[in-house]
Amino acid sequence: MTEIDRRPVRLSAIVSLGAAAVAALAAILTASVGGVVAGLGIVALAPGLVVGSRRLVHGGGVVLAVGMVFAGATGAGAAAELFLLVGTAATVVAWDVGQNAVGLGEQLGREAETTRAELAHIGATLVVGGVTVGVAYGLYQVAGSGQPLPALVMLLVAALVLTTSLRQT
Amino acid sequence: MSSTLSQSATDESTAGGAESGSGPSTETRDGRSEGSQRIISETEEDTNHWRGIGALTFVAGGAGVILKQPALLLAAVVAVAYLAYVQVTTVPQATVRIQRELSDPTPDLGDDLTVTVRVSNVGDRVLPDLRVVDGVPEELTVVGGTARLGTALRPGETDSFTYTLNARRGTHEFKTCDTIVRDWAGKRERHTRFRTGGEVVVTPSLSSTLPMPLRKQTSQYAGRVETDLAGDGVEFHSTREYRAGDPLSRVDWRRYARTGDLATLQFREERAATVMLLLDLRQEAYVRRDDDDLHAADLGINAAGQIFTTLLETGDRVGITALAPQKVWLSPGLGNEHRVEVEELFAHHPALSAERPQGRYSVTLGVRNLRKRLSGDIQVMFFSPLCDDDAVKAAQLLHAHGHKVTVLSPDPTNDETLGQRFASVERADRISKLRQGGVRVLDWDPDEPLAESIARNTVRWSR
Repeated sequence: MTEIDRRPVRLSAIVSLGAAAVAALAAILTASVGGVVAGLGIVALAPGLVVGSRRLVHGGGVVLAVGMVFAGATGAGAAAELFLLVGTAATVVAWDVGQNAVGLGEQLGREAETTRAELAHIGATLVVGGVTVGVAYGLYQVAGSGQPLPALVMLLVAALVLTTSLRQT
Repeated sequence: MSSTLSQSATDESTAGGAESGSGPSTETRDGRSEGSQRIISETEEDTNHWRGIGALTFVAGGAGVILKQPALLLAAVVAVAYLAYVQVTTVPQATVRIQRELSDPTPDLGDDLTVTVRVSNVGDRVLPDLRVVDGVPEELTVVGGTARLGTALRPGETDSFTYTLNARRGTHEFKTCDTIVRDWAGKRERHTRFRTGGEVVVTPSLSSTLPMPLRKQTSQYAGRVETDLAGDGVEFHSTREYRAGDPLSRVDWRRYARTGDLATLQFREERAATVMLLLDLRQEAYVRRDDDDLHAADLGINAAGQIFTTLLETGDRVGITALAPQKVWLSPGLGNEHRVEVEELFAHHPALSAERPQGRYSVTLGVRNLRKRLSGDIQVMFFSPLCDDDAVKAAQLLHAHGHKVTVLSPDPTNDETLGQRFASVERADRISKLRQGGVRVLDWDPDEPLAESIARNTVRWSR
């Protein structure tokens, strides 16, 4: 029997790299230092998606996220909030879809027909990211600008507590 | 002869009362008793897919608090949203029905067999990430397509995948069909192993071929083999002195007119032969030209099947045995019942499966045992690639003990490398050694049809 090609599936790998590029772009637009770090993240992610290394994909995701934090910490452009929101969502998409590509490659192989499974997963992740970015930015524009920072922090903590309680149900 | 079952049935998983009637083909529910689909094992496990997303929340949020950057707090919101998303999705049951369909229910040896697997979601929940790995029978090779699928199915929806197998001899059971269902986020996955049943039975084509010339070793029954015995027949044999009672039609009247002596014509008697087909199924016979080809043992079995049918049609008695670690024995016989027994043997006997046997086999012992069971008037047709000296020894031993031996040898040698050419020369040497010893050898190049080879090679054989 011929060996199964266990490398990551193509479509998800491409989408993952695309999302990583969007994240890097958002980081550059916020602050160039963050863009450099995010670029390093892509350097780690891309080979991971070619050879199918979970470790490299994880590493790439972490470096991308660090780049976003750097960008958020240093940059304060006109639309820094929006760029950072989009960039963080894109980082998560790149990391999640990249992992899925590796997982599908491991379980089914590159030759198998996996488009539907990939599209469903990519679609769901994108929708969650898109809705979050939209709602968060909208709320921030409407209500956030006047509030003091501690109030926002408390809101975030409340959201965290809520999600933790979701786990128990 | 060969029969195949394409199976399908409803699954009994907890589909939340999902009726399989929502699927497109409900008529297959009848096959519930035999090829029914049932769950063998089911496990749920964490994929570790989202591990670390919480850390992103705290790092981004913490940095935002320390640096007083609202933008970073918003980034943390994204992570929190994904965290919530991961928490709310749950992994559904594998409410699937798996149907396997074969392109050819009765494949012949070496045919390409296309398998179509249809996967339907018979539950009432969407399966966002369904991965199916079909259990291809171990001995069969996938030559086209893949036996795996990743898909997403809405309730009632069906997806399918197709792959091509190379049919090899024997009974091949489809193994379990494994499915992996993940939730939307991919945080948890459920491995479900379905037993789907179903098997492919590939038998050698028991179609007849050209009559293989038999040796002059016959039974007492009338048949088509011309013997050296004088008696009734068609071809002239000799004349002898007239004895009272000889029929008038047999008197040589010309001679009487010429000399005045009465003489009687004699003809070659035509008798039926009893043939034992001896298959070489030792490890050494499992050789082939390259990885895509059939083993010489397979080719031999296939040829034996054809010659068996032909001999049966010409009224000779045929039996089957083998030089194999397992016992293979079918006494020579005649008629349809015998034919059915042989078909059964070809389809299901473990020694005739496509797998290379493990145990060692002593030819000397095997032939000694065989000799004890063969009565004196049986001739032997030996199917062997002749790739080792033991095969030659077996033929020579049988010949020495008074059985006329014909060797039909599928040629497994190649001439690409030096080693292959060397093996080819060695084999040619073995063939000439056998021929010198009075054994007939038909050197069959598997690239040409058996009938052609018989026609071409047997022209010069003495009758």
